[in-house]
Amino acid sequence: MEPIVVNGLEKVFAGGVRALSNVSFTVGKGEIFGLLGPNGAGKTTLVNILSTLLLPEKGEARVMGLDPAKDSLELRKIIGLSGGYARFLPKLTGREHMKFYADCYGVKPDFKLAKEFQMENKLDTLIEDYSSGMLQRLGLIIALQHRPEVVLLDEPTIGLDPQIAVVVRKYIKKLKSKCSAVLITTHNMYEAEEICDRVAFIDKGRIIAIDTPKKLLRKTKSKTLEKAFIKLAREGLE
Amino acid sequence: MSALTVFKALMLRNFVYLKRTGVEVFSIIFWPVIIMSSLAFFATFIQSKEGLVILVTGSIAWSYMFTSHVDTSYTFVRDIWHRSLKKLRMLPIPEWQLIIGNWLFGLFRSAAMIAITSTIAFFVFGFNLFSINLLYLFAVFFGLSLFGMGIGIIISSAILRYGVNAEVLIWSVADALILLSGVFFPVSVLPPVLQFVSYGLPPTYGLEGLRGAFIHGAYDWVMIAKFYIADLIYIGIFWIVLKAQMRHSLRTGFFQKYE
Ligand SMILES: Nc1ncnc2c1ncn2[C@@H]1O[C@H](COP(=O)(O)OP(=O)(O)O)[C@@H](O)[C@H]1O
Ligand SMILES: [Mg+2]
Repeated sequence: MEPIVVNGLEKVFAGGVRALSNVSFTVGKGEIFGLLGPNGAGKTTLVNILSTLLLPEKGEARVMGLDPAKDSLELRKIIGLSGGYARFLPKLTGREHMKFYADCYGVKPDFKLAKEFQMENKLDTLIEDYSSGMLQRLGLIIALQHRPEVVLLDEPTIGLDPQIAVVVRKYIKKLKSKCSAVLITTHNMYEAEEICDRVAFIDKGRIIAIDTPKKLLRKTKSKTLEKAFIKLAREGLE
Repeated sequence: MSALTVFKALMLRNFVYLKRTGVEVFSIIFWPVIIMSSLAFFATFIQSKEGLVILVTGSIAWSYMFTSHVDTSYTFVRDIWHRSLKKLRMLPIPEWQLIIGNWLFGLFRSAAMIAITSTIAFFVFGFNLFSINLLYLFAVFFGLSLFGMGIGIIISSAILRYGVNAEVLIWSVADALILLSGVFFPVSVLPPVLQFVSYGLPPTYGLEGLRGAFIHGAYDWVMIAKFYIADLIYIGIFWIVLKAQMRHSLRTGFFQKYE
């Protein structure tokens, strides 16, 4: 069974914004799959559909064989979602949040994980005194501490200090051996090249190419994924 | 994982939040003191003991119910404010556990509310809330908190539809109940049309039942039974509305908007 299967997904928001058009792809076992595209391309929309937070108009999705639209509760037990703009209740500490979320999954808070993200000394600080980078790392810890089968990361390194971004990327690579699949969205093409086994280019709600970063570079005769994306997006228009 | 663990986690979360937010602690004490001292001054004009009993029982009951409904829905608003609603929804816990967990915390806050209001009432008016049959008293107050949960559920649906703008409902629903449920007066003084509306609202039965016990020493268990049946009907309907609204919000991208 493929960990993530997406078939013909369509999402239209009120006001007629077509956020996704006929999106299909599969993420294989052990894969880190990147969803690349500019702002407004539909990345968050897609991740939210897989995370049971949004219902599509058409098409279907399966995550570990479960349908996000119908098996929402079951699915939420085995996935972890973290977005780039994580926010928490200001009057609680990081540790209290870790404990609360762990309790709701019926697991123990994973303080080792906090250490991996260099957060062990910040856990007793109130959230209102956290920097955005600290919030983001706490978001990752909380999304991962229940050991999800499938990890969905929506722009996990956006706005992080470079040296912290390195730590986070390193950990995402390690996730490969800890879970069935990782789906990561980013508009940082360099990041995608570094950590993804395969990437899908998404532009205006459409997937315009799916392949390994290497093959995409070769096919488009480009030096960077950024250039490859621009070429393919232009071809799509023609 | 068991529902109990989830309830405990939610209650602890609310408790720590409350403890660290000075304003919220202050509000628990502020309101009962204000309303009870107003009544104390007001009492100097009121001739009948009956009138005073109606006002005092009404105030205690209303503050109590208000706390239940605010706690059930307010935690929700707070998570929208702080943009953590998406994370709450990602938790593998069904909506009813979220509602009950927050409501249970509200029960503790309402218990504090009762303790404060009834103590003040005792020393200021010599009014002893616990002078009637305690089982009856408990039945009325538990019924009120059940209705509080119902109101919390329907307000949560409104928040899922209109976002934080619906927050104003939290306070105004309670105000409407003062008029329509006869919190400060017997329903019989209302014009017939409003009386009809009034008997469509569960708390009316609880409040009438409570007044009957204090004024006439009458324990109207049939009234209490009607109260609970009405409560359950309301909770059932509001629950169906919440579930439908949840599906609607999942379509419109509500959770996407509120991070
Ligand atoms: N809740 C919503 N209601 C209406 N439009 C939305 C909503 N969420 C996203 N959109 C629109 O859908 C499109 C895709 O957005 P999004 O998935 O957030 O893109 P990305 O994550 O790639 O930047 C954008 O045009 C955005 O404005
Ligand atoms: Mg996005």
